[in-house]
Amino acid sequence: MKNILIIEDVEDHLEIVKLILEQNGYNILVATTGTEGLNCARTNSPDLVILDVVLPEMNGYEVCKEIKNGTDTKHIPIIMLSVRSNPEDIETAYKAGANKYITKPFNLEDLVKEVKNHLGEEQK
Amino acid sequence: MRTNGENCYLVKKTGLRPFKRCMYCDKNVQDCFGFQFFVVVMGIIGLLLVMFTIRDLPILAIEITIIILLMLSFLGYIASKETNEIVLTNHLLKELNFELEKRVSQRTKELKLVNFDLQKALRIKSDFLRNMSHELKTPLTTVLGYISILSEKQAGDLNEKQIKMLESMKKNGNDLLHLINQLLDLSKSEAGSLGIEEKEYDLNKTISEATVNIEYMASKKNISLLVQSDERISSIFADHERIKQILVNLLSNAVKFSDNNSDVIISTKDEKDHILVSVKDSGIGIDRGDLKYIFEPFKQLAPEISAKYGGTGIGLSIVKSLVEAYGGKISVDSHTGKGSVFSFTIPKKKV
Ligand SMILES: Nc1ncnc2c1ncn2[C@@H]1O[C@H](COP(=O)(O)OP(=O)(O)O)[C@@H](O)[C@H]1O
Ligand SMILES: [Mg+2]
Repeated sequence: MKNILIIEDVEDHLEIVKLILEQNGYNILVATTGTEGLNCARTNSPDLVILDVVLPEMNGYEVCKEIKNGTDTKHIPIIMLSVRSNPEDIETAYKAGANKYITKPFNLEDLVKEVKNHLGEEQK
Repeated sequence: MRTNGENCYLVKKTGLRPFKRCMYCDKNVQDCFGFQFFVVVMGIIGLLLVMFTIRDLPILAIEITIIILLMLSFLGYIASKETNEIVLTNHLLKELNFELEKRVSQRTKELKLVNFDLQKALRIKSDFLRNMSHELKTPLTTVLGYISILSEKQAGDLNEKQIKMLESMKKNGNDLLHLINQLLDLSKSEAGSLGIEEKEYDLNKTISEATVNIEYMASKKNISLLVQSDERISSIFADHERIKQILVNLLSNAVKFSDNNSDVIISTKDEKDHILVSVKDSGIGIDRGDLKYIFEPFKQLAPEISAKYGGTGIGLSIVKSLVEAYGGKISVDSHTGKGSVFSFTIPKKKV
């Protein structure tokens, strides 16, 4: 079973993403701050990270950069999820190394599709 | 009296009282002097005429000389008075001019400051709208997320009634999201930062992508969306996301303000230095006098129709900003009760 780490500080958003991914058969790890998320990524080396932008302690862009700079973690695909939809924000995310940027509110099916896609799983 | 009245008016308008008053006062004094001298001279001439008849010639010669001298000096006086007046007036005009220039430059400075403040206010408003839109999206993500989970029965079975309610919640939630996105676009367009990303793309593809968004609404009213494209146009260099957004807005209006069972026609035309794209409907049309308002944000001429099919009155203002952002032009031709044609241009650019 593949592990997915969700780093998200809004409780309900975390719950929604968690529910939908568990439904699709993934094992879920959660973190609610930037630093906690980064530590979790380093120690558990998940198969994929879902990362919010606005987070306490350390923002999503920084967490993304750190994960992508670590030799042990840089292979982990990162999907960023945020209410921010300005082109600058999206560009910052991709510059930080994000594999995909999805704006909130997001379509649940689309999220699952992206996750599968980045895990290299077959899709019909 | 009338000049006085005018004078007062001028004073109010320009605040130049001291100069004006001075000039008028002088003129009066001069008139007065002239009249007095005229009386005196006439008197002397009269006296001389009397003397001329009763005295000898030599004395008359002396007297005539004196009179001529007197008259000459009087003329000299008048002349110098007038020169003085001209010099004075000239001087006053120069001062007036200087004063005016000073005032103009001061007012220009003031206006520049006001303009700066206005732009700052506009920026603050745009920032506010943008931040607000983002703040609104956070709770909306929760609402829409749980609605999806519930309606997919991932939290248990549902009865017919509950399914219907959830559907309505989903639709309204999505309408709200659409509104927030439009507000965001509006704030961006006001801040002049609608990102334009141009690339080579098939215009017909852009059109069919736009119609997909409207098909559901059109099918409900049994309205056919027809495309008449100019064969000479294939791929063009432009921001296709933005063009799609423009088309979706125009098409949704066309369908919204048309009767059931009608046609909406999208046509393209190659016109030398630009491409013309038109959306034509045979709906309710727009009064000639109202045409100038429709591109203003939040302007709705038929609020009941807009409310029935959803609308905020900012669609066209966004369309206008979008078109102008890439250097195009938008125009509208409409007749009440007959229908409307909205057209916009896409300038041809070399890749
Ligand atoms: N094709 C059309 N036919 C008739 N009226 C129109 C059409 N398009 C726009 N209008 C008028 O212009 C107004 C502003 O349009 P828009 O900015 O798109 O707002 P909305 O569609 O949200 O009401 C509409 O409310 C309507 O009164
Ligand atoms: Mg509209």
